[in-house]
Amino acid sequence: MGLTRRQFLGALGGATAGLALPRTTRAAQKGTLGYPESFGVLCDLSLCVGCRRCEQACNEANDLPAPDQAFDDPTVLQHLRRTTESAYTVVNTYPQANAPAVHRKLQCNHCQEPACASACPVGAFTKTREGAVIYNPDLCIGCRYCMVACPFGIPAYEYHDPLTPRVRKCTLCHERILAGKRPACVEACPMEALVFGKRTELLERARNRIAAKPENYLHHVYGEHEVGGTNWLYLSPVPFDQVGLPTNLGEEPLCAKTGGFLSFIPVVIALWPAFLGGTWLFKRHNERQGQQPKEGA
Amino acid sequence: MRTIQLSLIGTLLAALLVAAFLIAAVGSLLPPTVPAIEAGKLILGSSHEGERPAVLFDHDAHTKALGNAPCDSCHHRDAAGVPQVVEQPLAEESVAPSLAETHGKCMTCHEDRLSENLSAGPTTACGDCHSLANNALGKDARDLFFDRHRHAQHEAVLQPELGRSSCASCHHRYDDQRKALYEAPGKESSCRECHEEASTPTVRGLRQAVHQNCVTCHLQRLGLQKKSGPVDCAGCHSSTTPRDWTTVPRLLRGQPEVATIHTMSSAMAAVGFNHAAHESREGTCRVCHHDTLERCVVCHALGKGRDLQTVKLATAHHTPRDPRSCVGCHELEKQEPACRGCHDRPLQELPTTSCGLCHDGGPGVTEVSSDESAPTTSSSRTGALLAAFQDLSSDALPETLRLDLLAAEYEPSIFPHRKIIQTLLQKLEASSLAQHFHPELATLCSGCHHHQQPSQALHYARCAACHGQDDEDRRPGLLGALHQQCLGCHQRMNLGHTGCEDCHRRRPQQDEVR
Repeated sequence: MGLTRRQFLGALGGATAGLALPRTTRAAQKGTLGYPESFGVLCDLSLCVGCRRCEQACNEANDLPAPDQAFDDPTVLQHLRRTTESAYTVVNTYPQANAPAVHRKLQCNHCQEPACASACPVGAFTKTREGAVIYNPDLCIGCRYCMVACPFGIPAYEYHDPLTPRVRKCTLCHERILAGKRPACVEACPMEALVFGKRTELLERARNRIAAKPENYLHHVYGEHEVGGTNWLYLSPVPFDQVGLPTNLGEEPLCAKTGGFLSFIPVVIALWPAFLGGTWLFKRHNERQGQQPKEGA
Repeated sequence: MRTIQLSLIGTLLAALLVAAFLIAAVGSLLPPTVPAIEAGKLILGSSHEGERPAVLFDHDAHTKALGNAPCDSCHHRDAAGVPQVVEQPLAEESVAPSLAETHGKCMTCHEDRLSENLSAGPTTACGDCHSLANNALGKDARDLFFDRHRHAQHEAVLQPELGRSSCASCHHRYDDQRKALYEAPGKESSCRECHEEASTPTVRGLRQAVHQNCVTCHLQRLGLQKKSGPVDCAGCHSSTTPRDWTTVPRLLRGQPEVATIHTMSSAMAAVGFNHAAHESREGTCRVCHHDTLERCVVCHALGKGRDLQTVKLATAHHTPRDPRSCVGCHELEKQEPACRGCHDRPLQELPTTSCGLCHDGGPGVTEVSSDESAPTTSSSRTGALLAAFQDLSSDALPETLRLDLLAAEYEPSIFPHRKIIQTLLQKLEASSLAQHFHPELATLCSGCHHHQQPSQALHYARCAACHGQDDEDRRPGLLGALHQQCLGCHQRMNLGHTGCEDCHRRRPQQDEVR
């Protein structure tokens, strides 16, 4: 009997630890996603009154074309809109049964592990140290994988431009942040429903707000863990799926689902021709040897 | 040929099954409708599993159909000739009349009437009567509140006839030794003190007791051609409409005008509780009193007794979430839109600054008016506030404030400072509760001027003293603070005017630029 009881238990323990290890490393990873010092915005839906000044400020800050309907026209809120190449942010109104309607501002949530960036085959998206997910049109090849990858349906495309179409989305006013200013929408919000700050501090503030008025809020900060965490955080008085935020995304970054496969592709692209070529050469070599009369036969 | 037939039948069967399944599925998706039980209808029979469903018995329809002597068709009479009400038939230990008895009575009558060509109930199919599905037993809409208004109606008829002893027409006590009822003037109480939900061998259940007393009395008076009450179900079991209770006379049984509620500690003064003023706000005594009309302290011990079973007096009076406690009831009153501007959320803990407003030492120490609803008192209280308000010069209290934080887009907003206080004072005047708890002008001011101790001198810092350019130190910036404060109040108080241009008009040149 080569295996003693002690050895068997030891091996079993090792195997169990080995199985558990990948899980614990993943769990430890959760807290370290993204840049810890990055900025974000806390959006308090219980304060938003749907005035659309954020839309106007965004339009002016990004030199976007004038909208079809004026920014002070409240009829816009009667139907749900999505972000477009000329409106990086829009405010939607979600009527509630037996309660005041809740407004929500839509824009890029600036994921800590952005799916758009991981789907981009040419690396046109960058997650910056400041928290913004920004886009480089010079690299973009127009495949629009980012638009498919985004779980919030945010990136829009300049379909009207036949020559140099670009993907368009909120930049978290990255330039303004670098200049020490707040994003334009945050600065414009008269209700201070938007608060700019370090993401870690915003999380603390969000939790403080829930603790201070527990009856006012759903006890959840949207964006704390969703798809690995986002730099936009939301507080809401109603369930998040009632204000158009998907609640079925899970807490794992979306790129974790595809990253392994996608990183394998370059390897395949590099190795597959070499492998096939080698096989072909080997086969031809064999054939040539077969054609030649064997010496000494 | 035979196989074709078989397959045809098979297909049909399958289609039927699918259809049946679909119907069942759709049926289960629809929310079950649970109608409330209307006045005039009773549920007869149990709805145990495996039995026929209960009967929704239309009592009023039967009374009407049976004409002159309707009771005896179904009800037994006791030795004194009073028709007996059957016990609540849906109770688990139902003492409902036996199956043979009800079926014998109902079906015989239905068949007899049918043969006489009179309007009759169902005679053949069981399901015509037993139609009440189990899930159809909704909330009982037949709850009856014998409130102060109804009591006053009875008093108005009986008192001229019987004088002081008219109370004994309904109110009585039970002597255990003599096994007899006796009159106990001045000790009248709620029926529920003795008559509980279910009957006991010695005390009838509430339902049985009140039906036998009320309906019998009404029937007897009808027979004597005297002014009487209804004898049909809906006559009494109709929903009561909200009314102004201050106009309904008080129920007098020797309660004090102003009661003194003593406290445990000598550090906390006694409460001079204006019993009369509180009576005038409510429809029944049971809003505060439980089933007896005893003083609170009879059951709620005053101090730190060893008894762990009862709620102590201080707890009973100070629990914000219990509507029967003083604080809890006041909390409910504060849900009114008029109050919600400042009182925007339920009380989390008792404020330590306003104890003295209730704990005023009792009626001997401060003068508490006997009737708060009397116009002299309320007007004198708000009158003092109004006078203090009008005495303030425009230096101390600016008439308006000019807010121009959004000067680039909007014309300045003129904040009607004095008008807002005036409106709040008007709202205060409408509520005696609010008047009591806002004794000074400073109490009103601190609604907006928060985090500053209400001061007699009414010196308050301007908003901008704390609220800066943007959110610093986790305080909202000035723009956010003003919008949150103004709009929050307008929304909670249902004041309207929540659009941008309701406060500041958009600058015209802004439109030209865009």
